[in-house]
Amino acid sequence: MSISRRSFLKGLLASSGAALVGPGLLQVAHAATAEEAGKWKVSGSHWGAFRARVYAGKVQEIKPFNVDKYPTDMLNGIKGIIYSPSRIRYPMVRYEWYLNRDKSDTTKRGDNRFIRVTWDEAITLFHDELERMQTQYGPWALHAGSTGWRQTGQFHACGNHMARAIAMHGYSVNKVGDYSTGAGQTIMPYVLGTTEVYAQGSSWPVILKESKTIILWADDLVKNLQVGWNCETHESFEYLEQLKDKIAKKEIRVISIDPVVTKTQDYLDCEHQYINPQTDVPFMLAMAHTLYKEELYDKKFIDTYALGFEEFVPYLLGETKDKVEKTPEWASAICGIKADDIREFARLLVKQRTQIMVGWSIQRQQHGEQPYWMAAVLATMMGQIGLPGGGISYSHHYSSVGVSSTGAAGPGGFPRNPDKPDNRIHKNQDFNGYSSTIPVARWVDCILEPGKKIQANGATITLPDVKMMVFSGCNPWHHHQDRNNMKKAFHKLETVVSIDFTWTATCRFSDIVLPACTQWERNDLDLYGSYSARGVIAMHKLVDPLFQSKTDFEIFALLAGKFGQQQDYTRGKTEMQWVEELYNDCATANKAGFEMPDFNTFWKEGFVDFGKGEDWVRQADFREDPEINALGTPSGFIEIFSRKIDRYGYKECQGHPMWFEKSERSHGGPGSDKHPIWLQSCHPNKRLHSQMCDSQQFRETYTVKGREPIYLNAQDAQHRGIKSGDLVRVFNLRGQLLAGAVISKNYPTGVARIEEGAWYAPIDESIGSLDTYGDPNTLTQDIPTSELAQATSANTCQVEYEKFTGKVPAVTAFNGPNEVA
Amino acid sequence: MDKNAVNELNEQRASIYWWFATLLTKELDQQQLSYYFSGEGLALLTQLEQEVLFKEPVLQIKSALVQMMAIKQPNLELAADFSELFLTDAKKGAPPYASVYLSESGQLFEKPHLQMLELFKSEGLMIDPNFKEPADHIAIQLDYLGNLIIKEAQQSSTAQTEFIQQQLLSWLPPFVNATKKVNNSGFYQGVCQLLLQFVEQDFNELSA
Repeated sequence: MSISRRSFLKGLLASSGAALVGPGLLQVAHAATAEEAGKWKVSGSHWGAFRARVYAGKVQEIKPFNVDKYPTDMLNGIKGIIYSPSRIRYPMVRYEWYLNRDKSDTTKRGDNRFIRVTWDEAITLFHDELERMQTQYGPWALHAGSTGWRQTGQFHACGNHMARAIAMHGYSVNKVGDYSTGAGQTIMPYVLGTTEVYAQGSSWPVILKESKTIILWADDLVKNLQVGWNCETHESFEYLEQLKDKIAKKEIRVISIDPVVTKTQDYLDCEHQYINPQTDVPFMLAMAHTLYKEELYDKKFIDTYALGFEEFVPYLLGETKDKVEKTPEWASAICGIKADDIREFARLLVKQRTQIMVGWSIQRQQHGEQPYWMAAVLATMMGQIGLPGGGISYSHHYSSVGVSSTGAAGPGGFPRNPDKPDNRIHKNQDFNGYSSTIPVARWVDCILEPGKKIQANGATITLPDVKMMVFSGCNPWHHHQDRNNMKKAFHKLETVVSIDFTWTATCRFSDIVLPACTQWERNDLDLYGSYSARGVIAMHKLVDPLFQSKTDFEIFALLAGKFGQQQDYTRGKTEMQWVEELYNDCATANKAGFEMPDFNTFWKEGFVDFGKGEDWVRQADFREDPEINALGTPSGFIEIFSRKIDRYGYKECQGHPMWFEKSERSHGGPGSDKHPIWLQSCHPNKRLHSQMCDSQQFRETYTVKGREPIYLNAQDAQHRGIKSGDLVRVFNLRGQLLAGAVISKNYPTGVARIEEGAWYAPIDESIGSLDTYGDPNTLTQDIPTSELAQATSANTCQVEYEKFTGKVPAVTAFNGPNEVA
Repeated sequence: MDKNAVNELNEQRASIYWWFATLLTKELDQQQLSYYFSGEGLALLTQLEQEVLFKEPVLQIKSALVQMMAIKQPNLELAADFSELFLTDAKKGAPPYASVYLSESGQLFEKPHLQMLELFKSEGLMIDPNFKEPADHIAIQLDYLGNLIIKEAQQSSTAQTEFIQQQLLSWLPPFVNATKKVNNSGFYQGVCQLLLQFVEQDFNELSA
């Protein structure tokens, strides 16, 4: 080496050091604190309760908490969430927006160049934009109502914090419904009187004792019960284990009706009834036809408990407008089940005590109201509603439904609404002729077609001209349909604010991005065993908020501070004071039934267990006395025919359940000539929606060449020259994505699965660009189920796929925004 | 070399490391950037450019600065470059943390972070609480190295060579490569390339 270090260093920085060298980053440490080998703390999550060993300011190890006897392997993904390089580390503002504000070039959204700002500047910008919306436009221009699966914890519930702070400032557009059960929760109150999807179901011990047949209708319990709305402790799995045993001993017959062999079917080793996708209604109608023709239905039950059968029967018999009799032969051509098998299945339903359990996927499709309604009609004809081990449920796959409720009260949450008296800064409630509440899945339509009038659940909605959106713990760039349509919509938005802990696609398409901490960087408490109300768990802060992240409480308190209402927002209380108060309120509410220790004892122990509840049979009280215990329907009875819906005069949801052809359908249905494969995008097996997709090591346990798997039928794949492990381009006229092929015997021809929640990773912000990771909503269509629910139709989606042969692009999903054209 | 010459040399080496640390700690403000348009910063770059090994990265930095001078708010443009490389990105960008490059998990706060913490503990140091970053952040490592050089006050020191080899050269090459995948003005890509060449050169001299 010829260079002389001495020569080049000479004089360097000799005079200018002071100007070019900033202050040091190291200091002399205070008295060293004695480090233990680690401290075990307790916390919870949607994936389970756990203990964590914390050492040197870091979560080192996670072990299932002993209240959870059936922990999931998703606990292995938690450290990968906390320490993900996808964490949002600082408040960031989109560069182009920072320079030009509402005049920014919105086609650059998602491109993506950000700059770091201080918290104070970020909150000031956020507040300025809220002010601008309220003064320049009005409450109709601001939509801050979308929410998602918040991180767990009652106090820090992010939706509540956003709602309270925004409402203290002014009014804004809100939503009704959700993406999981939009059609179900809208139709069922007309039919059985509650949402059903969020209702406690008959207790498992009763079902295991009394049921002779269990029909799982598109219901994958083993997959979906892994996660829960509150801290999930997996009590249902004890009963699934017993069910498996009873199937082996031939004491109970379980039949899974599904195009796909589900995880539950594999686990239980139960029977399978294949059905063509989206054709559940013809199968149900034909079974109703059989029961009617063979006089196997329960006339007495219908007479006593239901209304409108006589208005429905003519449809069944082909005596109404369509002139089509709903015979098994008619259904067979659509649903792919032999006519005689349909008859046989119908006879089985009434042979012995039968419990029907319906999953949510069949209402996440066009006309999703119909299979739910028709299943209730079928169950009514069977006459077993309200009997132990009989009837119908729409929720046994969800959050410990079916585990007996203890009846204990869970801890309340941080208040969503401003306190009284109402001191909000902007009192203007004039929505300028627009509707103030919209069906949740129609917000993209608001942006693209403001002023358009749509029908929804008996009302006429005028879509507001939304200019600004705020998202907290909510990732619509995962859960909404049709990415390329969303890109168009986002070109029209002036300002988008996201509060999250990780760089979701929603954050990348935002203008102001605020770093929240994860739920493990704050103190909180939660109910465990959602529907069983099994106990209360402490959520000890494991580590301090990383980088510059803050709790939602701190973030929205800062915002409230900008308009002078911080004290009102926090009620002058700290995080721990709130947590203690929520605990004490819970203890007071439970005083009569459950003894709870004082807060300090609870906090130290980590949990309070309420034990097991009493067994219970859904709708038994209604069966006992339908007058006194009337259902919540307009008539108080089961409504096979709904006068109310009939009077709405809708085309795609009429007075009784009907079969409507879909806009896209496989197996000879519309669009299947060009795009023959039905793409189902059900809830994932190894994530909670899009949560945990950023947990790299855990993700790598299921990805294929770094991409989301697409599950394929062997014949379909072979026909296209595809083997397991190949990269596949999946496409239709709406979009294209890359996924990794997994060929599985569980998938019939014409069917493929990509689980929702796969992070959207487009090559660039341009419309139509290839998604490099495999988000199925790049391909799904953004159409409503019907005029009734206006809900998502994600499962009405046809695609084609081919072996990918081009230059393989890197996956862009799990980084911050850095795509530069 | 006499003692004074050695001290002077070490002060200069330390200053260079601190200079790099400053550039990689946070975005340059308007004033700081102005030094590189016409002041001491430009003088320093010009001086470094004289060394054949450093010529290429220095020219890259200078060419980026010329681009910046034509922009209305150059410090914001440069801040966006800084963000794109170091603040929001994980794979196609270049997170400035050793853990991302050295750990199997690719996560933050892995072993390199813990090693730095252990080191600080043994020397009675701590990170400025206002700089809430993992201990394996490049700027912290460079700041520490500057301190180590002054403390050792010797031209060659095992502690220095070990630190450079184990804590810096172990991940600087993939880190610098990662910066090159990002296409913006190229200022920080030049800084990182220059840093790598300076560290390598310094290490060679120390080990000679």
